Amino acid sequence: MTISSLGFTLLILTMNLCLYSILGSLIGIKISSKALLRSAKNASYCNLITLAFSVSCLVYAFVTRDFSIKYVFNHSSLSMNPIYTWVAMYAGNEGSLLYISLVISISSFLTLFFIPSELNEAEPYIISILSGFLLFFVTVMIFLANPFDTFQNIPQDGRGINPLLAHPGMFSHPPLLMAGLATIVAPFSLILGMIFTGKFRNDGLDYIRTTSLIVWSILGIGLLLGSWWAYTILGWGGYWAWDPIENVGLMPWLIMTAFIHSIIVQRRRGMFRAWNVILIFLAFVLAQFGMFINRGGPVVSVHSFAASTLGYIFLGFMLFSALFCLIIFILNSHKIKSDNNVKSFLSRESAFLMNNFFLVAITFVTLWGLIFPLISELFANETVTVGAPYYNSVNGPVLLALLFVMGVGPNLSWRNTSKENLISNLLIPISLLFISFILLLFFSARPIISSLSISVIVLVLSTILIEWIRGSYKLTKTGTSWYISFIKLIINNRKKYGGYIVHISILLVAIGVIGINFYQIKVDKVLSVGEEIKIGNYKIELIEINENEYNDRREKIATFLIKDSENKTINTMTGNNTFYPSFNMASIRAAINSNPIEDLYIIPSDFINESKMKLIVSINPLVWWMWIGGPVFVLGTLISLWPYKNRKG
Amino acid sequence: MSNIKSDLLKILILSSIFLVVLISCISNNVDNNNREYNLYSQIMCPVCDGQTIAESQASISNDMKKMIKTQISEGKTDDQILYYFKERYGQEIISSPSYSGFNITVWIAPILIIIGSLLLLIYSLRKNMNKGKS
Repeated sequence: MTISSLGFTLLILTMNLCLYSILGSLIGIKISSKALLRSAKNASYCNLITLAFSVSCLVYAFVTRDFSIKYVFNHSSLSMNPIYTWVAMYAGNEGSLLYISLVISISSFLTLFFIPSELNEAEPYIISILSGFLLFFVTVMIFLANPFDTFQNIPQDGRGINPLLAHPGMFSHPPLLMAGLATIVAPFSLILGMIFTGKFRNDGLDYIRTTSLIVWSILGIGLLLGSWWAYTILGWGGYWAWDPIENVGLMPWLIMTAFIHSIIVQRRRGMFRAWNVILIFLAFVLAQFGMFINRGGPVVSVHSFAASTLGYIFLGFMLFSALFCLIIFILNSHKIKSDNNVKSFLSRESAFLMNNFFLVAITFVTLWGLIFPLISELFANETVTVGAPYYNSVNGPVLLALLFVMGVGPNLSWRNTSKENLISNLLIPISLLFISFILLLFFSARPIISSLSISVIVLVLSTILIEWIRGSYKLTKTGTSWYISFIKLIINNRKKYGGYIVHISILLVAIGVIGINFYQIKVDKVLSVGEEIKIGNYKIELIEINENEYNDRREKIATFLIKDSENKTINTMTGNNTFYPSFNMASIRAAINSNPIEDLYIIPSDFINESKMKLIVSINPLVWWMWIGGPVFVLGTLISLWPYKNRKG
Repeated sequence: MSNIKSDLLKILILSSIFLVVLISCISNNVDNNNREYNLYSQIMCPVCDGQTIAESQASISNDMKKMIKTQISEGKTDDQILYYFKERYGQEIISSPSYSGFNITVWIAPILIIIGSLLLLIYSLRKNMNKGKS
């Protein structure tokens, strides 16, 4: 038996296991047979084993460079750097489907393994949703996109990996993003299960919150790593281009962000039940929309790695999921009524509502920009491009409003905020907002919007810090030091303070965005070896240009000496421009000297001859903070997720 | 009654702040210090997928950048330069739709929908709150 037929057989086995666990669960409920239900659950556990082995088969084929398999031929070669073998595994359509299937099986294993007893009744429904979702991907692979498809005549060497993917960021960005999108099915299935059993009240909400937080943080980190990758490798200093594929990853994340906020209100006040169901349905459908756009959608994008002719299948699946969600919602809407209403505009509930509103608004603006070219073609018969200027100017103010709510919300009490509380909580943050705004207006020549954004960041940050100081101060009264009190404060209410740390990470990202969008300096110049260029406080000298020929690529490397205004050497940096003839594609890697104040970013844009080249040099202030936002985001999420000892789940 | 008035006042203040921001945002898109790069980021690279010529390093993008520089030194306005490229490559070469004709929908629709649904949300919350009181 060859490795390819083994891998394929395992896929067929997975398909049967899925069918068995769906039918077993549904029939098990009908005839209330505990044994059948348990067997169906075990079948769904087995998917993890079969898929893990199937993925191992493909990885083995890659490691041995088994070019009899078409997928291995298309995405690897003998001369490629062996480190990227794992990346090659998910570099194309078929392999990424296999990877996604593995992720779904892992997430359904974890979801079912840790399921709390209060969800026992809903479990069979949850299993059938999870297995049904997996079944779709496995079936598509078996019939339309087999990763183990073979050649009759075995080629000598493969085509190699797409050069854009040969980057360390590719070990984490695509797998995390795909995993985040695929695993939205976990909270989705939990909520569906509870709706089917008519129990979408407070049971299991903690568990739903945990799974959603995990999914949401995976997706968030995937997006941020994508930005980082774009910043370092695409070689033009951008971190977010509002490209369609970026947008389809962002939209489910925004909706999930709304969901993890509004689920808090459901836990605390028994409100927003129907709204939460709508949000999770929306997130799931948008994730399927992302799969569709990614695999052969009707829009142009720089991310054409997984493009295939399967677009219609994924479109069909998305429409099916949307219809399914709609029907489920209509049939069950009477079961998911809320217990309470919003009592006052000045309440925590209403702040959460505003947060949700603005997040959904950003999603809507993004979706509208994404599909507008199709609408324009249909109704006005004109091809248009909707690019960054649209998204920046329409989403910008909404994002700012969202940040504002992030600053005001935590100062409001549940139900209603008394005047005294309102004044004592908001006085300092709001005054700081105005003071910083006025100062910035005087001292900064930049657009008003940047001054406004910075002062709103001051508002949010001061709100969080004041809360921390007040909380710690209370604890110091028991005799502990400030330092210990602060740690105690965070440990005692991890959910809340973990959330605040995540808020700080969002602020860090916002600081980077403001720095690069409003305070960037850019020049371009042709430079010969030995010549110098001045920008800001830097002097950049081109020391040498080297050229290297490899089997699969031609590499041109420029070395620069960076000095400060007093001629002290700061650093020696290299930037390269590599051309891959078999892909007819150039990959440019910028030279970046990064510190908390600013990044010096040198793009080797064009090598004119052996001693002359064209550079684009920019100073990107505060971008460093954006990348620091990543670890802070993870830290906050982990604190927020860390389980309490005396409670389960 | 005075309660409702003060609430309305708050809403009014908040939405006017929102509008001011919106307007300043749209009008502040043009930064004169970086005129060249501003134009680059408004023109799509004709041979790449979804990149502007500011981002793309394709040779045609570099040629187009040179052309823009020449036209700026000839004293042409931004609109004239954009029009020059639009004439040759069609509307899709510009990175965002124009503010005229059918294309204005792309800008107007989301703003109207967001403000409209915000007002609707506030109205229905109000109604529910009053119901709770009586």
